[in-house]
Amino acid sequence: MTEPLSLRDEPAPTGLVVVRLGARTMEDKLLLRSVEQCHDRWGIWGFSVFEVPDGDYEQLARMRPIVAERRQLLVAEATALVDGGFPLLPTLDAPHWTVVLADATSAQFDRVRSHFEGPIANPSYRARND
Amino acid sequence: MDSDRYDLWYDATTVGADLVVETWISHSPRLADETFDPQPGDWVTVGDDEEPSIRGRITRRDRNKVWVQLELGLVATDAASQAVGHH
Repeated sequence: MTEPLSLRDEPAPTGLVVVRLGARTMEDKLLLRSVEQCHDRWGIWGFSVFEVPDGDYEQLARMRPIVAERRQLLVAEATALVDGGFPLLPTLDAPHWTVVLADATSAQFDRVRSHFEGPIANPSYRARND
Repeated sequence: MDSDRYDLWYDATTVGADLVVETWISHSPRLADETFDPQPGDWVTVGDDEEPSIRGRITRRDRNKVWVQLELGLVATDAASQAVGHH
């Protein structure tokens, strides 16, 4: 049973940059898992991204501590995603957004992947000494 | 990262501010392990085939779905042997 999809009253800010954590996270097999979980939850095909607030990766890491654990990120501009036919929905708590796909196919995954750059080194990565 | 060194796969971009993440047994390397029956309060390891796996505690389970609160101070090096059902 799906959950109601509640959206924040928050339009995408100009110049919004979003990230996926990891370098392999948009490979077909892994992306399919994420898209299936989104569909199960809300009844839409999509996957999670985090907004980089004002381009500040340290602030993002403060808002989502898991970010500092990741060495690499994939990055996209929100306008490119939307212009490419992939709406962005302000889901859950900021800085979480959902990129919406028409369906869960390799063709869709290829198209949406083309809007992401990287992997880049995560500016807020906190190396562990252990 | 060797996927059989963790219990449950997770999407790092879905981890909340409270460090809780939803995982699915059906998406995880222990899908075929009939002894794997994680319950709230159990410690497990989660991984994503990229970064070192992380220990976490199960906060909730609904059949196939398992919610895990990650312990970011505890990278799960060799923790698989301490996790649910590992021998």
